[in-house]
Amino acid sequence: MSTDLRAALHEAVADAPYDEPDLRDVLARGSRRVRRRTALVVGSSALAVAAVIASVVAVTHDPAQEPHPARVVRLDLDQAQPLDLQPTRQGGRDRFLGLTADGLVLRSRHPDGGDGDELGLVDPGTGVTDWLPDATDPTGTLAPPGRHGMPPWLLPVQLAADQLVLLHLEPAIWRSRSSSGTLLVFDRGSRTWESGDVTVPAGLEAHQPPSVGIGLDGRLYLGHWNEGESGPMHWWSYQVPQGGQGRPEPALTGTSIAFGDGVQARADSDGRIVLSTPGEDRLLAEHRPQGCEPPSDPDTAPWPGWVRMAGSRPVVTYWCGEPSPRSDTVTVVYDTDGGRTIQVPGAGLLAADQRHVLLAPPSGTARGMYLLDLDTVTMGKANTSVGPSFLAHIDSQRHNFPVALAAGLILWDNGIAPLP
Amino acid sequence: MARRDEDEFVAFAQVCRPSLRRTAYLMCGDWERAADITQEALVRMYVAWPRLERDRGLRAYARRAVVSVAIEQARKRSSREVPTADPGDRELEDPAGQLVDRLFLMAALADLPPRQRACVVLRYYDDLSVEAVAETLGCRTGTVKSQTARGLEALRSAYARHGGELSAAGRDHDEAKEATS
Repeated sequence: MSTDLRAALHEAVADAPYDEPDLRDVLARGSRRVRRRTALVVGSSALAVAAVIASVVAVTHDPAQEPHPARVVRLDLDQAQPLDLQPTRQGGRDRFLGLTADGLVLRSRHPDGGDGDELGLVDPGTGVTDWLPDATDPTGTLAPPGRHGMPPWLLPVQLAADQLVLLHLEPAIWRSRSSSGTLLVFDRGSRTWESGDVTVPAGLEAHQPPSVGIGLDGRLYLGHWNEGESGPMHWWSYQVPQGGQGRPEPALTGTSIAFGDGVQARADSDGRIVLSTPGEDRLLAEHRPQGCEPPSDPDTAPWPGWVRMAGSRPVVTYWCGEPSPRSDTVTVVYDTDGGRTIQVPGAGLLAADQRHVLLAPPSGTARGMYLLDLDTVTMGKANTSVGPSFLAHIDSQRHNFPVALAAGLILWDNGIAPLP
Repeated sequence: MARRDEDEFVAFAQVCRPSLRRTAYLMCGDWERAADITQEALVRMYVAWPRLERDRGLRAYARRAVVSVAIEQARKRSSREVPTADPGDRELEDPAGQLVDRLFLMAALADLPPRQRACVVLRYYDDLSVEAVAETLGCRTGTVKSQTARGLEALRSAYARHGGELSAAGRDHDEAKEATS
């Protein structure tokens, strides 16, 4: 028997069984992944202002707690004024990872010929980098190559004035294997590292980093989707810095959580927003924004959108209608007094700090980002006639680098600039 | 993604999906899994679509996505699958011959490590140059030559154990030199 390889290969596929291409499935899955990428790329860095988090306590259904209908102020992206920022950028394998609450920049550098990444804190005023002691000794966790060809993630969990909490995670690219990583805690006073191994008992979504933060109970919270599933998001919590196997948090399944300074917000896909502080939960909203309906199939609505804390104010992006690459979005800033909400139709949430919210434009319609100044739109005090000065358009390409706001600084596209 | 971009993507996917599915089949040996691999590859391509250059490299990018997904899944399966009988132990005689030949080929391919299999498929089914395969797999041309040579040698050994012979006319000069160097 003599066989020609090329002919045999072509013969083997000559009578392929009929297959109905399902490009709708491709479009739906692709658009969901784009949304997650847009939000998650910036998510961990937006946590730089987080300091302390509360455990989540179920909110009672006491009617007295139900929120009053809020007055709504709608902003129009088309009315934004141009804002020219000149960032200081890094290049090559030098990365800005996030902003600390006291206005320094976490920097990662992979030296030529080195085995691991170096971490430092950059003073944006002087440009001087304070290189941190080597975190690879004794943990060895920052050695970069992923075992399965996927690069590990180094996620800023909390970049506070007194400590840095980072999660170094190697994603498992298939669901049958757990993901492993290391929780790293740097005490900025003593300049020492503590660490603990972290195991996530299911395969992570291989293409997106998980959502992470420190809860009011001081534990690390980690939320992710399973690889190959559209949802919902699952949560685990870990001791800091010990790590360990992780405690499942089924009460949080399907929610998005924003971790702030002594406050956190939980958002469900039905529009229910719960604001938690130590010892108290408050129901800020019960319904999605008017006109923003959820998808008819709950399985296609795996997450409620993205939520961050702008100081004590939750900011949530909702996806409206059936999933598609052109789904509408609306981003809502909730007043903690329940008196007023700001809605920005078409915008997606990127980052927030005490007084600003950074927004992405509608997919495929514009470039750059929008900066919303919350001090100018003084919630509950300003007139409802909101002028264009509240909103600025930053005409800049945005790549897959962290985006963050903190301490009067903006980080995007591997560059730093002071906010006006 | 903008409406125009999406329309372009759909048009591209409709045209390319059948050939991508065939390459995926040769990478995995199962038509259902090949369909899944192709879907996942197209999803990845959808995500990357806005930054891809339209006038060049779209098919190469799609092929690269298919091979990457197939290799990931092959490694995943290798951790939990129990090997079946050696293809050389199988009875190859049948009236038509073609079916058994095909089963034998697919079984022999299944015994190759994923990247060797990818090299063989891309070189001898997709007719890519060594340079194009290297770009697809993200490795050096020397690696492609050596991996292809090892893959061919393994296939030839499988056929030889059965008393058969495998030829790879016209394509194995580089790989043959690599194997003997």
